[in-house]
Amino acid sequence: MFDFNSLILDRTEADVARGTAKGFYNATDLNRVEGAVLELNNILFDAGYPIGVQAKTDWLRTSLPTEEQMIRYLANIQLLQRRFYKGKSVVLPSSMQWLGIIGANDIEKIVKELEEVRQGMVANYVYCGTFDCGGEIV
Amino acid sequence: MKDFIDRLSTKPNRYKLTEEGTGKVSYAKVERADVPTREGTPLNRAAFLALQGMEGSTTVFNANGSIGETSTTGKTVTEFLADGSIRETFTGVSGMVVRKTTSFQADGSIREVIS
Repeated sequence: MFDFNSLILDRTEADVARGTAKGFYNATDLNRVEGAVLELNNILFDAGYPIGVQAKTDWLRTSLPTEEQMIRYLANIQLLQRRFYKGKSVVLPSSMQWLGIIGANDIEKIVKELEEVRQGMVANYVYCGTFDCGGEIV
Repeated sequence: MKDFIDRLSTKPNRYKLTEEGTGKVSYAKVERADVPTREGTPLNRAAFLALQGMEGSTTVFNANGSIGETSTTGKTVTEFLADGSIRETFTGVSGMVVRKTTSFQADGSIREVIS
């Protein structure tokens, strides 16, 4: 099960300047986001929202992402937005080319928000046997 | 087909309380605390779409003439009995079983019995 608390939302210019792990975008970032996307895809399918993402979760340090793969990477998130929920506060980067810290944070903020909205949806579920319908318990 | 979509709230289970008379408004989070031994089936998009047949399944035609349909909610086996009746047995993932037997009467009517 994916830990959505592991998503990185707070990269700063200082991370880039100091060369900390958060200052780079590499295989661990790709695997984290793709893992979260795949988890959402699977959970939402069971909830009646077939998303149909195609995720790759085995990126290596030596992997060389192609432009096509990076288009798919962002398209997965667009699919989640289109087929489940699209928030208004954060905008998905249009491309992974020249991705900055804001764009990198925004990608993971969107994924985190999707999970939070999903959790809220589940918390609102009504279950059989918990309310009356025409005088009889449903 | 009816498209059932789930409510997406920013504050789940939050209710507004308005005092009669004073009109004073307050908000409260209300959740069931009945300690269920079984939670029950969520009445959500997945459930309502499944009721309308929008549910993935795999169908197999068995050597004995019966038909098996397996989905995420359980398995239905349809058997064609020697007396001309049809018996459908659904076994849910919970293990609960419900059976419907359809028989064709001499007067042309159809009888369905749930057991």
